[in-house]
Amino acid sequence: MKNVTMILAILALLLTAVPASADVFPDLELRGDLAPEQAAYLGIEAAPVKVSAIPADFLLVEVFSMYCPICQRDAPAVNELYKELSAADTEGRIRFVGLGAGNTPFEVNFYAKKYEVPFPLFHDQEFEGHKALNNVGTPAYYLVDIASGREIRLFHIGAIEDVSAMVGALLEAAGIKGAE
Amino acid sequence: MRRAWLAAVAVLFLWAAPAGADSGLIYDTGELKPVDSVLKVAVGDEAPDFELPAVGGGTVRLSDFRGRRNVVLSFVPAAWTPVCSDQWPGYNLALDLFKQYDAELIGISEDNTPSQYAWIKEMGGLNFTVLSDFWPHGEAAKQYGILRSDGTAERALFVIDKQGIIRFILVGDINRRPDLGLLVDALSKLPK
Repeated sequence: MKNVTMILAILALLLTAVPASADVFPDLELRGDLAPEQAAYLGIEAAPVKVSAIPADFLLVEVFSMYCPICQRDAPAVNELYKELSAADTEGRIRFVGLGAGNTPFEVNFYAKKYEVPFPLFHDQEFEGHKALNNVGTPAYYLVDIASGREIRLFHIGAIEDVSAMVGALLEAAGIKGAE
Repeated sequence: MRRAWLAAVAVLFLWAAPAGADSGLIYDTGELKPVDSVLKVAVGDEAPDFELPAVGGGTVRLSDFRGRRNVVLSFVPAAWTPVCSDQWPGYNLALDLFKQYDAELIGISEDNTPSQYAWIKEMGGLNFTVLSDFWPHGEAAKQYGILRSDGTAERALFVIDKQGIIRFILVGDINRRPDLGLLVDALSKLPK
């Protein structure tokens, strides 16, 4: 009985939260005004840049919106996620970016400044990226394996309840041994 | 791929939490006629006055701000609908920008006060005044020429200066959020 309950619980979670994910992350063109250090962090000259052109093993993409109350409330936790992930991923194999669904450049810049977001944020003013991601709810997180043709290694939707646990899951999904 | 699914399951168990768009309480209106009314005011006009009940209690009269503060009126079509349910939380985040230009943000919809109250709770609360233009239905929206044929309001913004003169109007596509940057630009052009 316990097993049946567990299977039903897993199925319910998959049905409610996973359908927005895709097997392969679309090769979106990321647009935004990057500071020189942000461009250097991604290993690129400047934006726009295609996901496939980012010279990293993995890209963690947060789909957010300045207008999303959960994104607003969770912004400090997301900053902490970036900090902890950067510390654990000693070889810098995972790069972290945000995609502002339906947000204009002004709105993305405002959000970045308001929450002192330390990773690069891109705008998706016309919802092009958001549509390519099946209008996923926000916030949503995709760990994209760039080297394998942008296969999605991990998908999460909603608030981050436990930053350290998520860092562990990201490292596990990427096959990275974290810092001791 | 199996590994990705396993990772997804693990993550969902550890951090499952609903996304805003998935709360199940927001009614999907589908694509609507972008604009369904004829504007009755223009930039340079005196803003029509009104007095409406506030969610926080009592009533608010627009003319009470004359000589004291600039005002931004944000009309939204309806509570519990997709675009409106993120437009105002966004403005709530940006309240410092409004304060910077000595502007009072006032949100108005055609819903009744109890409905607005529940909706605001669902959005996590708002720190600006929200007024109900429910009864006599749409009286304020009618004065500005933004009451749609179905009794909802347009997605409209009006910037009114301290003399009560309309300095900016944006009646946008009801299906889209107006760019916050346009509003801030209008505020920045108000007389000091």
